[in-house]
Amino acid sequence: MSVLAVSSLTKRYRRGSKPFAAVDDVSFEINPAETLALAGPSGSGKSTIARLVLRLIEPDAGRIAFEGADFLALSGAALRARRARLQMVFQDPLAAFNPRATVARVLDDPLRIHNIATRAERPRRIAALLERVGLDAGLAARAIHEISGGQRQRVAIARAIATRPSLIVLDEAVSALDVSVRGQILELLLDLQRQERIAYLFISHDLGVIRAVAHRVVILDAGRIAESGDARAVIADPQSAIGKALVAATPRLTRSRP
Amino acid sequence: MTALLSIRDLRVRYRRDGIEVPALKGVGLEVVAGERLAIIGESGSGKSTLALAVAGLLARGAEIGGTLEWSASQSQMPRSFAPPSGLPAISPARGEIGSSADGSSPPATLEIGEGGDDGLISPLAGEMPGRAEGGVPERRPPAIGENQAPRLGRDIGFVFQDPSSSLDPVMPVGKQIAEVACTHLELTWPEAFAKAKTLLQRVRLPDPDSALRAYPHQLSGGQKQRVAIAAAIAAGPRLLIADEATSALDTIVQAEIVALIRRLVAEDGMTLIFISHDIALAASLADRIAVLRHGELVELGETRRLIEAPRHAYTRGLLEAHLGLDAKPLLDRQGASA
Repeated sequence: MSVLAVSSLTKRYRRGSKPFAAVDDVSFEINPAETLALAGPSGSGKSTIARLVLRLIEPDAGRIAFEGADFLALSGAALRARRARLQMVFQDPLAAFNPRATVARVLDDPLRIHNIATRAERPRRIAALLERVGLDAGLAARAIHEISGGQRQRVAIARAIATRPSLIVLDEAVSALDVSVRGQILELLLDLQRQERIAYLFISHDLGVIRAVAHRVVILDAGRIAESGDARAVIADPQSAIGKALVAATPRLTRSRP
Repeated sequence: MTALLSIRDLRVRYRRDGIEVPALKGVGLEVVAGERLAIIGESGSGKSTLALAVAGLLARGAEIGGTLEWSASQSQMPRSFAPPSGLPAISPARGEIGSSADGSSPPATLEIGEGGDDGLISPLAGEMPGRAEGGVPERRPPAIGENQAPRLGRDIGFVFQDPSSSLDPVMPVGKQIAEVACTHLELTWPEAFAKAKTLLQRVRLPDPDSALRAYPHQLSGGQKQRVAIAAAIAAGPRLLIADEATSALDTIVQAEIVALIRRLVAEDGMTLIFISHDIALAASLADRIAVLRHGELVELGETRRLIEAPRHAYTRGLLEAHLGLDAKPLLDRQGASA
């Protein structure tokens, strides 16, 4: 059974007085331990889909089934409980966290809010989480603004996995990182996926990154699915106009220059 | 090969929380007239500091050493230009210039010009140089050799990463471009406005007539960057500096902007300094690539040689870390070890 099944998802906004669909009749599924990438140009609806799946915004039409349950029907305590299983990592962890909070505080919150560990157990759990994402436990006392961008994104991942999610939405989660750090973070994500069978909804504008880590890809254009399929097959031989344009626009090291 | 710009032993230190942080630790290189030079590096490498230093845009408080020699003698400006008297005096010896305060009240023409420039160059840390501020912004260019300092806007065009913050949000874009032309080319306002329209056509903005009157928020990110480029080249600068100018754009728009920069640089015979974190993007555009790391130049070479036979381990690392469409997917590398 799929972790996430989205069907006929639609979200309309108004541009001036004109309504337009930011997400238009989009359907896809993600299986356990699978990475599904959403690709597309700016304004294609990638991040709107992420926010709909996270229920940060409500759709105008369509259904979202998460772990087999009607996710849109949940509210209150039931929604909060289910949200522990659905986590997120954004592009800029400095914007996602209180910069003056300590790393320990950032990781303590989910453990406390979701009653995952008692107060006495939490320091040990925090140390284990830091270790799990490749950080020194001594980092716990540091403030978020004091650590590097790569370390912050590891903390964001530690926070996401603290509640043992079945799905993590990664919205341009490695886009702001230096390439050397990016590789390490991608390896960490793949390692976690193998160990914990976490599924990823992986949003990126970078086809090179998608091809490196995603099993399947959905290419969006103006809110609609232009094409989808095995990530490597689609990127190797895109069928849609937007897919072809994205592949053609991706810089290549081997390209012979005029 | 004539050097348009010689950078020698350039050192820049910032002061942060009372601590001196070196950003450039003695970088030397020559920018050849007419070449497309990419400067690449990761965060903290000093690549943007280098660009800002060349443009004389470093934030106040930055300590600068070393020399920048600008070959103004080869200047082929469309017309002769008398530098405004309000320009800060530059001591030829050692970098430090009289701050803008010394320039007393700048002449009116300069004020307009700087206002236009400010619209272009606002994202300096800690400064909000709105138009209302007027006057000469604080600039501390390093020592310039025997010749006069290159002037931002006239001799050097600068394109920043984020056009939303480099354009004035409450001024029609045509006016922002025209101001640059008006200030640096001694054009009348109608001439400058006509020039702005030509520039909007050159950067391929659809419907230049209505674009002239558009405000930045009415344009897409790619269109705004086209406007910023039009303003940067309005006075016919010899050097165009693009500092991560495509990094905030999606892949397709990025490719369009890179193609635009390539065409404009060729058409106008400009020299290009292209600052990027993306080695593949840099390689697609540049004749030569300079690799910076922690404020030092680790490698400089012809693009093809540097990509195919990197000499420095750090360059090799950058090439290996690049996830191209022909790289072996990490999924496979992982699967093998699982």
